[in-house]
Amino acid sequence: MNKQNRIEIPLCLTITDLVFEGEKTATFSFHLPANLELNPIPGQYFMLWLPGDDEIPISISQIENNEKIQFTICSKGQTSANFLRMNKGDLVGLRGPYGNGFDISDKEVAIIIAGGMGIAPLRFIISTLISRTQKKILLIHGARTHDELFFKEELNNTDIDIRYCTDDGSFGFHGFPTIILEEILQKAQQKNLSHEIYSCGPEKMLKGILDIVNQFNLEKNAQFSLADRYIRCGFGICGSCYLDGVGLSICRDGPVFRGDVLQKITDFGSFGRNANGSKYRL
Amino acid sequence: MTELKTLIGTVRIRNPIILSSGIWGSTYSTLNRAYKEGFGAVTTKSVGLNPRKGHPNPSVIYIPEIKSILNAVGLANPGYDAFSEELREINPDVKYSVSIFGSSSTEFQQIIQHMDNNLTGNTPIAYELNLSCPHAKKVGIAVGTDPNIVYTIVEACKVRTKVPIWVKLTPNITNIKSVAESAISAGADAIVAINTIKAMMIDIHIKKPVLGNISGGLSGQAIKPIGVRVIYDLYERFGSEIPLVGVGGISSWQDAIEYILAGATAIQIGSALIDYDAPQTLIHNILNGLNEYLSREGKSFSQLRGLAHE
Ligand SMILES: Cc1cc2nc3c(=O)[nH]c(=O)nc-3n(C[C@H](O)[C@H](O)[C@H](O)COP(=O)(O)O)c2cc1C
Ligand code: FES
Repeated sequence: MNKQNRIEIPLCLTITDLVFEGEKTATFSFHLPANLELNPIPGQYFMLWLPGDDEIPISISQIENNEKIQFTICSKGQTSANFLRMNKGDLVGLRGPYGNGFDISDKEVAIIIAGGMGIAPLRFIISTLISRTQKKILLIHGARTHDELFFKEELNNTDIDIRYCTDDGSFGFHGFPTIILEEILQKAQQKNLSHEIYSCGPEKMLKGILDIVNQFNLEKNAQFSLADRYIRCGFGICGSCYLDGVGLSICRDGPVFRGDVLQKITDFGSFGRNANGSKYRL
Repeated sequence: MTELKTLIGTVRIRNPIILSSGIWGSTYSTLNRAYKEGFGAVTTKSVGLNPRKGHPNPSVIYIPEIKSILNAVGLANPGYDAFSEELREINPDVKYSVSIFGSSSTEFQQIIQHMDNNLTGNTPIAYELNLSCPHAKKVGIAVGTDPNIVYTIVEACKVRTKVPIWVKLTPNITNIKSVAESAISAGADAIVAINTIKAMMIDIHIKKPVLGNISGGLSGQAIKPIGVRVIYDLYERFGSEIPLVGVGGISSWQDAIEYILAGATAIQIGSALIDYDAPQTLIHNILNGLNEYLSREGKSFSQLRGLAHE
């Protein structure tokens, strides 16, 4: 593995911009010092430290010129809720980038599947694919409801194909993104094009996607980012985030895994672990 | 290849490199994987009576300048009951020891008895008593610096189980020899040293400590000279009678040999795993280096122990 530059000791930076994407979701911008050359990969994450509270892993939502970096945070637990109470100018400690990101493949068609907050890291891969003039990009953008289809306007301004779907039918197709995926793969079979699949969202959805890509023998061409799991150190040492099966970590071996690897992870889609290490059913 | 099978008291392991407690070892899958990658034995994360979620994050920070880790995980664990279920899933060929912490001899007894009853299929090679964690209240260092308390705990554990009792000591003490002496006279089968060294870090922009727990323990390359000195002192005092497991900052075969020359019977490795995507390479490098060194010196592995004292 190439050695990537990384901030290991939290670097306290001021929030330069804070934009609410929805009632409980906001995008935070920071300016990284110019000399760091972090070159993060889509799918990688940072540990974001709220002094006096806690530190949480957040995927990179966008980065421009190795300088302006963005994270989209949704209020779920106590710390993420406290993040949403912060203001422009407040200090946050950043360390990263950590983890294994997406491989950018040169397949003819890129299919991107986002469920809810999963759009945040995928937004970064979409802009990366566009800048590399990927031939065809198709986004299946799903959420529970219309208001949670984050970055809709921004993505509408690109010329990628987008299929929307909502669980409650308030916008786009009424149903899960997996249904659209299956349809697309069925049609694509006749066309003989090569595909790469990038996905992020609730693990139940990812599990559904894995089942479908398996049917089409595409598990090696499908990449999944597992969010929403407890991470403590970020570099594979402390043992907090290891998944049962072959003993791979989310924080270092992941959070992005290919489908053929995920098949060996017995915890995938079924069990999580909390901070004390006990297992719970997802 | 020289014979690197190692005897720690009555415990025989395939090579002298052991995974230290708190690194990787929170789940059966990682313990299985670590053993498969080549460790001679693996140690579990320390387990206590009740579930503990540990301290708030940041709780583990890497300091690249000194290749060291500052941590205040705070003994996060699911409690001995759930953890013994976890350990039942360990593959039968895996040599593992269970690290335990507690605040009193009865707590240690309760946990050991439960483990003994639950792990009959694949008994641990040892119980490693963590009398040395520097960042949790009432346990670890709080009981591990008083020779009388150490004696009571070790004695209480020895009467409860046939599994060897290893005692892990802290360097955060002026006279480690008197604590070791208590442990040994109470029947400890081996001494493991060292645990992390009390340390902290302050952010100069927000002017506050970085660790959620304010202070924690330092491990990794910066602490190696301290660990070597502790093993040297213990060997000087107790000679080859009691097995010593050296731990602290080992990341190469040279480091391993240094500890063995100081008096270690075997070694443990923790923080150095940060440099590897898989520990296999690290273990391989150390075993190879050790082998080549032994053949250059024309010595067997066991002859190396404590040579720096002659
Ligand atoms: C993240 C982390 C967690 C640890 N947790 C434990 C623990 O639960 N019990 C214990 O006895 N030692 C624990 N230790 C200490 C290590 O086992 C070891 O004694 C120490 O790190 C020195 O060895 P090293 O320099 O090779 O890491 C921990 C160390 C680290 C870095
Ligand atoms: S969070 Fe520490 S090993 Fe992954």
